[in-house]
Amino acid sequence: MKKTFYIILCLLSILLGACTQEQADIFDMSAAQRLSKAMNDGKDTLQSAHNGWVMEYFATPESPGYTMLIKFNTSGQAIIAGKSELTNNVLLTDSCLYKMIGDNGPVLTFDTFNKVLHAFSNPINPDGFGLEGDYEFVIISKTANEITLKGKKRGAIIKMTKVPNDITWQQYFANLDAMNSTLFGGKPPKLTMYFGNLRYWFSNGTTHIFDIIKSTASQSTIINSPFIVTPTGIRFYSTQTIEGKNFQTLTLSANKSTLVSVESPEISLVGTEIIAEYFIDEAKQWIISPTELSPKVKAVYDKIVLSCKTKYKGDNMILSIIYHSTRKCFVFKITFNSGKTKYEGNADLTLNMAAKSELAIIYKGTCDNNFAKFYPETTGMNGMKEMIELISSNFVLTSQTLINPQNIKLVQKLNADAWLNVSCQ
Amino acid sequence: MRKVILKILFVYFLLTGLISCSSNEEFGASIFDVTDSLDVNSASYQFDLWLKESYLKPYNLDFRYRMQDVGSNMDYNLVPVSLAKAQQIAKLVKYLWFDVYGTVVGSEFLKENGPRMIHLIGSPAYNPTSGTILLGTAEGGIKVTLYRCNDLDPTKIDEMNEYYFKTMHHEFAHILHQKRNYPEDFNLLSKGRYNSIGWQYYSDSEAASMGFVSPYAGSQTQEDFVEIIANYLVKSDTEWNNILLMASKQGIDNAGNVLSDDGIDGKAIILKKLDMVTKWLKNSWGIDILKLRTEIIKRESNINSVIN
Repeated sequence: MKKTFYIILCLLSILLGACTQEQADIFDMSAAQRLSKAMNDGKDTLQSAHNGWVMEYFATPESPGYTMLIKFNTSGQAIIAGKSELTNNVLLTDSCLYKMIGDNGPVLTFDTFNKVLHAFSNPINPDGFGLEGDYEFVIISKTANEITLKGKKRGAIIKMTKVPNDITWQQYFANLDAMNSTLFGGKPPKLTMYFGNLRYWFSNGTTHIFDIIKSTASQSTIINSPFIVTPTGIRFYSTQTIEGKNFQTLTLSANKSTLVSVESPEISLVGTEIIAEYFIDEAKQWIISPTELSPKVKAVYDKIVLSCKTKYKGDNMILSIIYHSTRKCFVFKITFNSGKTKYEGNADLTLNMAAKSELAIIYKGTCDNNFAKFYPETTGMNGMKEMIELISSNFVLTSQTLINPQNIKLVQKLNADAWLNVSCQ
Repeated sequence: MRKVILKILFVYFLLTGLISCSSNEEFGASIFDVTDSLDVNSASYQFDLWLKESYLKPYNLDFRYRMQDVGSNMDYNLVPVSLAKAQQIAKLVKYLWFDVYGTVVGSEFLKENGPRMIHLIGSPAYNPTSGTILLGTAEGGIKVTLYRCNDLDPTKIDEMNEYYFKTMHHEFAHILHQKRNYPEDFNLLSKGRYNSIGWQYYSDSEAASMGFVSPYAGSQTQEDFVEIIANYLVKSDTEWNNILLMASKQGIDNAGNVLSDDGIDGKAIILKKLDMVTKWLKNSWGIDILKLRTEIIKRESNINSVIN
């Protein structure tokens, strides 16, 4: 009897359980259907960019950023273009196959080799590792104009935005080159970010991984922060937080003196503030640009060129201001080739900063033996003495790109008709 | 009491049957795309069609050239093969492997014994700690993986033999001996001289003088066995005789030093191994290795017409 009671109790519990209302589904499709739909939607979005996508690629979260442009054709073919040291700095375009697969959500895979993209994944140099970049990406978010990807193995976050329809891929890379050259061409200065009396220095920008140094007495606080050059400035791999301020995307100001944070416009990276100090740097060589001289200076310059040619059969003449380690001072330097011989002459200079943008150049009256031959007007090079007199003066210094003044205009303070442009080597 | 339990059980099954038979659980068409047709608009359609006709239909073989990291060894950093190289290798594999066996052994042989999948990888699989690279693997008689395919240069037959065709025959020989064991006596021929962790430091001469056709053959017995087959199949007479010549002399190490005489007759050992391999192939598989070799060498002179 007791057994029967338990069995009936059991039966009742089943009936009660079976009669509950079915829960409404949270999703209107099964997981597999949702994944399939996400893959199809992802493919449609990829193919919707008629001029392709800008992929801002980071091989790993610690690596510098590289730009690739990608067009996803409906045939399953991807055309990828890039220009970097990995392509020997020439614009390289290659095709491969791509597809969407279901794996940790919708995953975009480039599953045949592409010379541009897979250069980041090829396990060479060092062998077995390479740059360790991904070529399979989980789509973690997307809108019609922006897709955020995450590398499947290394986990780097990669953004894709549509390439504007009114620009060619060649022009897009040319714009990037121009921005990179403006910001990091030649020997760029370290950039500075101010927080009241506190300063942070951003150096080593040519590697596209900033060393961020806090200007404390020890100067030991170093953070390495990778970034990518964009057509308008730079974007850090991740949001940076310094002294409570967040920033990630910085835009070059109209006067090309600062990179201004989009997220926190009150902070910016400042280039050279004391241009005269930047000029007086023993590591730099300032080449006088023969095509960017005032008529007065140009006339003297041309005399020297002609004289060099006629008296010494000299070609490829270069005039520059450089620190001479043997003579232990700055010098006005002339170099030229005569046959297979390269000639050089140096006249000693003193460079003094008269103000932030003012430089005093003084000829010390001493020089090496070669320059002693070039200097006299009658027996030497015609125009050389005049050039030394022009150079020995006070100059006002200006640059069109104070963020990285690789080209500086020197205008004589007392004679605006005498000016010359120099470029940094 | 027994009757009550039976009745209750009947009601129980009836009720549970009703609960589980609600109409929304009926099976319909698969929610997945299970169609196997190729997309005529695909950029790889012509090649995929050729693979289907050349490998899938006749051999039930999935020739996989599109990289799937889950299908590869995740311990390595690898990249895919390019579409162009995949096309060349697919044609060469068919011409120098499948068609060779078809001609010499019979059309059914590879249908029955060939792998079910060939997977191409673009890069080598580097082992940074040992300084070695993996050129191929055979897994369970089912799958053959060929690495370093992006470096294929059809103008360099010796290099192709070394890195691809030898690997191909090497891996297939593994499949064959995984199905039918080779004679255990083979393991005794170089017993005590295998070096599984230091084989890469042997020079070709040093390995040959010890009775191995290659340094890798000196790593372990199974590799030794298949290296005999692979090297004998792809090496020209000149190259094979050079191995035997090296084997008959004292070894010279990678630094150029002549090693002291170890008393081993390397040539005799290699020839003995070749004899055992030849008999095993004949008796276990009905394969005449000399005919295979002759056919392969004949075809190697005609590679350009196949891939162009």
